[in-house]
Amino acid sequence: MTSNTPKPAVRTVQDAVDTNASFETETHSDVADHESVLDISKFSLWYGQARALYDVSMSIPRGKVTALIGPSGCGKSTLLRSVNRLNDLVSIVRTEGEMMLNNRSIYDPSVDVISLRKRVGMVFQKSNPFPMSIFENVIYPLRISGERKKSVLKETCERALRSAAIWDEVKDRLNESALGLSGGQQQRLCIARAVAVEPEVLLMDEPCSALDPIATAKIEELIHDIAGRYTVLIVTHNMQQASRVSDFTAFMYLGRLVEYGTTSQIFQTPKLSETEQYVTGRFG
Amino acid sequence: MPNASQSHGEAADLRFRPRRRVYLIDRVAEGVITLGGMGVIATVLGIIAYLLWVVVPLMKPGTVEGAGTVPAPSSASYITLDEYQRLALLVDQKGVLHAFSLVDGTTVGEPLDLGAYTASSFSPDTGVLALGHEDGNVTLATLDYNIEIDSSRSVSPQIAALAVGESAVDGSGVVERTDEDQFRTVSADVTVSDQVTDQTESAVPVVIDADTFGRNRVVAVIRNDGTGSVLKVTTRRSLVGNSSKTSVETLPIDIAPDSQTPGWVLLLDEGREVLLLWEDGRTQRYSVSNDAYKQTESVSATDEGESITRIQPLLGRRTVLIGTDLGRVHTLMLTRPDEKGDGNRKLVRVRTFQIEESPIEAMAISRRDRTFAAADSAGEIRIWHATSGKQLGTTRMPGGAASAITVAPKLDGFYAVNETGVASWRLEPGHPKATFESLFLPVWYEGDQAPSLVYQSTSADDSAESKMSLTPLIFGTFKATVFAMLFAVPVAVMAAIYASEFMSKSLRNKIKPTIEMMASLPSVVLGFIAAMILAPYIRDHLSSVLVGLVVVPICILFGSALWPLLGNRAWRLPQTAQLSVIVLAGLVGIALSSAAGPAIDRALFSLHETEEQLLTGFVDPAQQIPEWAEEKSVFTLGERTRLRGAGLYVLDDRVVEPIDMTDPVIREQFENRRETVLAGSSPFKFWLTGMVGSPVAGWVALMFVPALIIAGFIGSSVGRAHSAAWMPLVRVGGSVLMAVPIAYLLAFVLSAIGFDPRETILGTFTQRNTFVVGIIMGFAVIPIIFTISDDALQSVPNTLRSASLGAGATQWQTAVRVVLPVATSGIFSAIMIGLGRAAGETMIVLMATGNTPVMDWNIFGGLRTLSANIAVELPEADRGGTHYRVLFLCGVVLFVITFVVNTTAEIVRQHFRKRSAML
Ligand SMILES: Nc1ncnc2c1ncn2[C@@H]1O[C@H](COP(=O)(O)OP(=O)(O)OP(=O)(O)O)[C@@H](O)[C@H]1O
Ligand SMILES: [Mg+2]
Repeated sequence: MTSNTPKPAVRTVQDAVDTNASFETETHSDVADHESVLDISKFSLWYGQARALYDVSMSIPRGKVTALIGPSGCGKSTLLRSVNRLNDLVSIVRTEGEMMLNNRSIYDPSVDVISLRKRVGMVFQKSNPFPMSIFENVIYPLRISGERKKSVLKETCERALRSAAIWDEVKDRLNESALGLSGGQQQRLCIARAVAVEPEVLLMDEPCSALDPIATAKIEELIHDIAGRYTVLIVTHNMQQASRVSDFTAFMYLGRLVEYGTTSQIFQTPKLSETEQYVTGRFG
Repeated sequence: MPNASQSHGEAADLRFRPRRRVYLIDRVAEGVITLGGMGVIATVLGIIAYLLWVVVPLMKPGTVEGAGTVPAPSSASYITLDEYQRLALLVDQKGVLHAFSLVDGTTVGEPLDLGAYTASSFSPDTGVLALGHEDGNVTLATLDYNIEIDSSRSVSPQIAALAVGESAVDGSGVVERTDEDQFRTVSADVTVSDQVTDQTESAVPVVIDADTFGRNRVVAVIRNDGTGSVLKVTTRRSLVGNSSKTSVETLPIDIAPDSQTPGWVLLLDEGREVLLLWEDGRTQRYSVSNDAYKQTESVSATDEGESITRIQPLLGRRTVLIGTDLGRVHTLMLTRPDEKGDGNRKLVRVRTFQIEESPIEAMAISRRDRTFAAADSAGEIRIWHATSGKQLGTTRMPGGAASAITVAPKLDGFYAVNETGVASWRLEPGHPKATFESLFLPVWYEGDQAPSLVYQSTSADDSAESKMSLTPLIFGTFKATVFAMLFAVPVAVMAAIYASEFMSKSLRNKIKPTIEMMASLPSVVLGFIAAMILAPYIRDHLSSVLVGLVVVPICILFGSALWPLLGNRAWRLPQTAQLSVIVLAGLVGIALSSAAGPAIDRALFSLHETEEQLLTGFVDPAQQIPEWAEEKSVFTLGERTRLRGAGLYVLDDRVVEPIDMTDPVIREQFENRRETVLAGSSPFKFWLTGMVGSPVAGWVALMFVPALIIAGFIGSSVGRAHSAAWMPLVRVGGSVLMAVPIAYLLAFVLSAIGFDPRETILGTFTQRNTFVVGIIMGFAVIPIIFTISDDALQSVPNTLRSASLGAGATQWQTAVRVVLPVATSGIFSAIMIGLGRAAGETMIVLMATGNTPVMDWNIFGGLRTLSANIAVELPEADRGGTHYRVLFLCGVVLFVITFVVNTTAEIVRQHFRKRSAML
């Protein structure tokens, strides 16, 4: 078993890591039953010389919540940022493989990155409202695309704030600075900003890790509410959260996608021992 | 086991307990640091305290100290004294001249009877005494002093007994032992000329005035028959013997008939003007012409109901002090011919000084400057400086009103006479010229038409005063700073945005230290480059440089607009490739502008043949001058434009018209002159002088940039929906094309309204000018603005950038909409710190400008900054003098300016810190 024979796939994840090879994901069959919105095939990514993703292949079902779990540094954020090509801005990044959004390639040279990012919203771990008014924050994506009609802006703002379940809290202070909001409110504001342009996919990178349990509960409820309208891809370190909010779960380990299936399958009947150990908290 | 680990722990404790030495070093370090910090603070405070200590005396009044009274030999009409204040000469009401010691009042020598007089005058600065006698004759005498210093003097026993510093009367003089074996003798040197008279007249003189102007003595006299004349007395010493010949030249004063005899007559301005004054304040001015003095002006020297009691011309005889019965002293000044107006001189009342309510009894002037003393009938005495209006001292005459008063020649004392004797005071005048007003606000200088702000620390001759307004220097400082900032801020801030937001990290890490290294370039080197390389280059290639300022950025825009054409492959290319495209575009821009500059210059500012005739001197004085332009010598640009409409020009203050060129000989001469004078020169520079050309061309050039901005705005709002790769290229190209008609439109509108750019920021070209300073000083401050701006941009959290980019914003939108607003205050403080640097910069402005303290915004003209002024003048300033202290005041003002600027920057930065802490 030498490193220059990647196929047939190595048996265990540890073998793959030891030989610096990729690992064939253990995908549960239920995933294939759903219509996918995002197809990732054999996607690899390098930060300079260091490889961060190894031939990741997965398809994200439309209108569902998919959770990415895995130990720190395994490449969850990298994978997420690859979907809206935020990694382009890191000059040392190199990619291989394909990603298809609605059967259209993301990494094709002809793709307009700006409009891609408008179709793929993103919410970050640390809430990052702009130092502007709440109103301006929410409609920022419209402003930058040159929308000037007051009525459209107002309507969008209200709709986005409502879908982020924060409308009632801020409707009287839309012109105040967004920096005056609490951490949980700020994060929901960021969600509102992300959904203002009705993205097809919403990427969330540990959206609750900086929040207290009550705020977390609110966000989770919110994710629950918007699922169906948007496809959500969420990174989380919190196993309970993954099991609470997601329909599907993918377990990553050191740049490899190890096991992927419905949330109940991953948490209750994992096929691989590494997955089982991780979700039960004995590993990672 | 537990035991073992415990003992282990103790051992570890011992091992890690800090040693004595560590404590000691800590102590010492603390002490040294405290000392250093305190030292710095103390030094700064010390410097400020020293500056203030030097500057504050400027604002203080002088000091006056009574120095006792000596008996006077008689009552006095006039009194004068020598520069050591030992010997006084006194003229009494009967025309007898007495000499007496000011030390003890002993008379010296015999009184000299000059004869009873009906009219008299005395000029303290020249010592000319004029007495008009009953028989119509005039005695002219000159009162002066002989000072002898000798050591080998044969001394009388009385003198030998003197201690050092004591003096006594001896023979014809007052002797003082100035040193163990050195004596100084002051004796009177009075020369009385033959009586001079105008042979034709024999009426009794009523009022008289006389003074020496150059080699002539001039006497103005008004007689009781209502006639007046001016006598010019020339004395020629023959080469052999002691004889001299006196000739008198007489010019009548054409006094208006049936006017009362005046109360005073006064010679002004070297005898070219004569003033007659009546008690009620009526004043008539007579100017010399070929055969007589003719009346040219009539004014009132006093207010309604106020009458004149005394008059006294100030040093130089261009200003008259008018003492009145209300206790006031007005200064009545004769202006120089008005260049801007009708070319006439005028009498203007400039200032009014007030003692109390009692009438003015006596006045005296300083022989060094425009200081004067005035005494009223209640015995009050004041000393003032006439130009600045500063009161130097105030005192009271013992025993009532003074009949005569005199100021010591060295302005170190003054004396007043009345029945009780001669009272004396020591005077420490301080800094008479320095008041807040004279240092910062417009001052009405002698001869001027209006108050003005002038800095001229060393005057050409003694009677002209030095002018110390700091405002032109403050203005120069601001002007240099503003132009430097106009150049530096866009470049530095754009560069910082580019480096922080668009450049790859690795490239940025190389560029930033390079730019920071630029900051360590000594400013003298930059100044040298400015003066020796840039200034001559700009002189020779002015149009190319100016065109380049616009064309190079446009070319860079073109270069960047070409970039998107590469499509999505572009972002995979290394950033150096993009940079090289931009640099290449810049180089193309430079090449283009150096080629296009002269061409644009010639096209825009092309000279008509008539204008070429003007510049080569092929013109004649105009035959027919429009009525409004007659008698004018100085023309505004608007008036020149009006004249040009009639085919006329102005050359050397005269209206001229081009000569007829049909003669082939003249034509050929003209062609030759044109070849030598005009070939290869820039018409733009001729246009700048204001002699030729209409304002339109200049406005077109000046308005091109605003037009470009307007066009850019229009261009960027057109076709927003199009995201095609060629769209930016079309926008840039379209904007440039659109800018041309917009510029022309603006130019025509502005010219039609009547504005001429040559009256604002354009003007005659000088080689060392503000433009050069702006560029080089801009370069000097670019590094610091760049560095601080870049830091401010870098301190904007990356999460904001990700959020914006993730929402689909371009890098540019992210930079402008999210990063810049957060970093604004940081960038602002960067600009302020750069501003502080530029304001204090010395070497560059010193070397790159002509250091002319002018106050206009002409970018091609010179300026003088506070700092350069200190550097230029401090070496030649007398330590402790007014000039020296004014230079220190320049330093204080500069300190205040930079302090305010830096504090503003700091406050804004604190604010910025608080705000960014929230993010
Ligand atoms: N900008 C970068 N440059 C170089 N290496 C990077 C960069 N960003 C991430 N990496 C590396 O890529 C690997 C994956 O990082 P990533 O941030 O995707 O992990 P993660 O799964 O999100 O971890 P965590 O749960 O801690 O957020 C890590 O080894 C990390 O060091
Ligand atoms: Mg992460």
